[in-house]
Amino acid sequence: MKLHRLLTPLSCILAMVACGTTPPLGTGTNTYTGDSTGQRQEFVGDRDLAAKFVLLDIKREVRDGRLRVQFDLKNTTSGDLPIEWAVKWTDASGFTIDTNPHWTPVIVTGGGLHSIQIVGPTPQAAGFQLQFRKPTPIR
Amino acid sequence: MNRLALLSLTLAASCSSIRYDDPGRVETLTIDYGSTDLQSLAGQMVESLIAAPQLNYLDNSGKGDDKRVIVYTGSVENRTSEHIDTEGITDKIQTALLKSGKFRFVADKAGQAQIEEEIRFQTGRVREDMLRQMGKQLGADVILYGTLRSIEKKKGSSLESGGTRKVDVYYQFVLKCVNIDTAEILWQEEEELRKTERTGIFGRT
Repeated sequence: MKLHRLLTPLSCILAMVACGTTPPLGTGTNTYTGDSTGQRQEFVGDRDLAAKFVLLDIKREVRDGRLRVQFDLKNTTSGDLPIEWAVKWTDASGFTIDTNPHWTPVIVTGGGLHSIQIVGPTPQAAGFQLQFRKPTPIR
Repeated sequence: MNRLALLSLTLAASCSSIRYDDPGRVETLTIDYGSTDLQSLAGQMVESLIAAPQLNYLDNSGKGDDKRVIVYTGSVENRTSEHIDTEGITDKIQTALLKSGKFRFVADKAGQAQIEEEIRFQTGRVREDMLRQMGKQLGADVILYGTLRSIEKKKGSSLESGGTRKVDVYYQFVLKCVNIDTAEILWQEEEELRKTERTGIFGRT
């Protein structure tokens, strides 16, 4: 009986808290920035993801006045793993170019490579931000 | 007492919430065609069109110094088993290509109908020196059109599958760019998507 007295208000509070808060949006994002000269920075928001996936062989060139970037995403684990990636573009001054970026889901086989090639959306695109995160789908 | 505890726990599970979300987030609410499929298919086509060197310039009579390719956006035929508004795909592609600055576009079917209506409206109402008329439009060099297909396979739950029902959907999106003068296909690209759904006894796995 005493346990019931304790559980009832607790579950009522839980019910109110559950209605008042929103579920978490997802995990951290790992961002890799670069430009046509090859300068690169990494911002690791999810260490676990950074250990499981590494970026290899980032190639960049300016062809027909547009920046092209190609990179290989390597799964360092032995099992197949899903990941989401997105790209944002910036001009020479670092301002973001409006492209409505979206997350693209991919599955990389265990120990395998997934090659991605992207092209600057406008001739002004001089830098890029590659973003990676664990899948956080709306479901 | 017991009932009250049960009721409050039920309340916790059944309450609803609304929030704004990232439009670019991956959506897997159902296996049907969704926003992520639209973004992926259109995005990959845009990348390919922007990168295509054969579509950098096209010299045609009356174009002047601006030799960028003038595009008429045709339609994407929906040959899937779902009801899909394929204009959403063409609109997304056209928006990104316009922003890229690589192509010039003439109004599509809906735009031409609006133009006709406006010109009819102007007749007799608008000052003569400001009257717009037919016969001055740019001539498109190429038409962009394509097809969206799907193959759907279902496998019902059985002892062999451990009571799990499986659905597999494959989408194939083919887009073509054809020279209006010569009917030559200048560019063609194919994009594929595969989605699978597994539903167990207790819901999706």
